[in-house]
Amino acid sequence: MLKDISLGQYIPGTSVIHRMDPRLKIVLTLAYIVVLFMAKGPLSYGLVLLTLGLIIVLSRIGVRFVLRSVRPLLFIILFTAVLNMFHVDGDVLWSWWILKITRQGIETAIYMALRIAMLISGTFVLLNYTTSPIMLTDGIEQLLGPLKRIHVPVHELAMMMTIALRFIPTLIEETDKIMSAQKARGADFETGNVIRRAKALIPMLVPLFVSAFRRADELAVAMECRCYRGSEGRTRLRTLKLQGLDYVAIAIAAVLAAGIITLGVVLP
Amino acid sequence: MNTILETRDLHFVYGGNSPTAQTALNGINLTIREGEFLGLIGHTGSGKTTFVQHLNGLLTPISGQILYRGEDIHANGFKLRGLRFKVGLVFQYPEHQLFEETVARDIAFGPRNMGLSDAEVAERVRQAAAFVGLGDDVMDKSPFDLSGGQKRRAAIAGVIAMRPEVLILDEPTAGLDPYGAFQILSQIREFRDKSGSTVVLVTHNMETVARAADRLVVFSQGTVAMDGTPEQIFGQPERLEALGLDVPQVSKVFMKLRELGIDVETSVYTVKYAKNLVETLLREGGQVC
Ligand SMILES: Nc1ncnc2c1ncn2[C@@H]1O[C@H](COP(=O)(O)OP(=O)(O)OP(=O)(O)O)[C@@H](O)[C@H]1O
Ligand SMILES: [Mg+2]
Repeated sequence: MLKDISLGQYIPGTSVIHRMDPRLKIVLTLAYIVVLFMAKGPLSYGLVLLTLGLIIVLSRIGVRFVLRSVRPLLFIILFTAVLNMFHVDGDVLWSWWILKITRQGIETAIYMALRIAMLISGTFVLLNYTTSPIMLTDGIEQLLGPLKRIHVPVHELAMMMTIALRFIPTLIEETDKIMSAQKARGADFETGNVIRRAKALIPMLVPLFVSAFRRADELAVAMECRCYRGSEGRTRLRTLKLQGLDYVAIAIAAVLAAGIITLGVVLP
Repeated sequence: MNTILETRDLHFVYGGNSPTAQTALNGINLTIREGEFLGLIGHTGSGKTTFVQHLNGLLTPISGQILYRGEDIHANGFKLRGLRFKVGLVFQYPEHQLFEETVARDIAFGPRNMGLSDAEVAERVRQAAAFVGLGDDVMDKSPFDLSGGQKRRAAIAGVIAMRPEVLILDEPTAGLDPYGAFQILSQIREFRDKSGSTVVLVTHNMETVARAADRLVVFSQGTVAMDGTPEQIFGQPERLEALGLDVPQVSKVFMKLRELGIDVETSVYTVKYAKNLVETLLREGGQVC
């Protein structure tokens, strides 16, 4: 049951999107978001949709997963859309009391909903589904590398993030197991008022914290046994280097971005 | 003997509709009779843990039924929480579930959830602790200050204190020293003999299961591959081997003896029985040595 909450939802694969340099993917995702907000009108939106479709097809993860990424936010999307629908002035199509719907309002609502949906699904496909958490933190660490000059502990922060990401599934599994074990002894997590339920969590939280601290301790010792000393003089097993694939991706992205900006900003 | 638990064509898949979905149970039909000591064995990943978590309703099968005394436990109106007091499940590495300030209070967690009176709870805690061999001196300690073996005992006592009709133990001796494992097992047997409870023991240790169980069920890839008395099961060492399992060491000795042309039975699986057999053989004539 808890398993369904997926945070690092990496879907292993070997598609071109999977194989792209994580640094590039982070930069391109940012670019995608910026360009998305510059789109305006049916043509440029169409091109963004095409871009998204291209990414999804190339990544070879099913449409099912893309839809799943949007689903939790469906309510917010609809809410924003409806709010916009009643809010925008223009040619009135329908009105009642102080409420009115305009043609422009409906248009804005549709664009708004599309924008949020494309924002989320694009980010999910590029960063969540096709980039393993380790690659992601690797990419972030290297992109933020220059900050080391002003004494930001970039490596340490990235390492902490990697460890945290690595242990989220473990902790979820552990929570599941402890909850089951306490349920087997008649613990009741589901009924009663707020105070009762909060109290009922104690049998779950105590063992969870105990085991989290034990794990942390063991991991720290294991890292020190292997002479981990932070970033100082540390080399990497896999250095990130842009490949031919990445240059092609940059070129395609540049063309698409230019197209969207032209259609959205320059033409209308 | 009456049937106490029965499963009908149980299917279970982990990770529902994700790309990593994993079939864990693939049509399990099993009848557990009241009062029997059932040993559940199987290669790692064969679905034993998944199966026993269905028996007290912690996991819900995607298809199939679990019947407790003839009643479907997932039927409307069936009290699952009540079932958990009757079908007590001790998890693998149960010491990770300890949480109270003292051992006594931790053991009391289950009985207290049952809504028993303080006096009754205290009595049950005392008795359960005695069953697993925890002395009075540790009862007021923090469970986190105990040794690994003591923690394990405390956790088992926490389930025994509910006086379940069926006691299920998932690898209760994993990671213990041989003597500690032997002791815990003897205590479980003693509990069974005194209380008349049904016991289901999941284990990897063939010696253990050979000594304790009346009936063995072998799991393989989410199905019941073999089901019978220890004699019947250990009498088929080739099949066991094909399922990735071992026979007890004494059985191996006897199989070797047979290969050497000595006329002995092959379904020998306890050291005690083996000893008698060897002694008789030796008495009958020197042809053995
Ligand atoms: N929480 C889980 N999530 C996903 N798959 C699981 C989970 N638990 C078990 N499985 C899978 O289900 C199958 C059965 O596992 P199960 O734990 O029931 O086996 P087992 O017989 O108890 O093994 P062992 O002897 O190693 O304890 C295995 O293939 C396992 O990989
Ligand atoms: Mg198991």
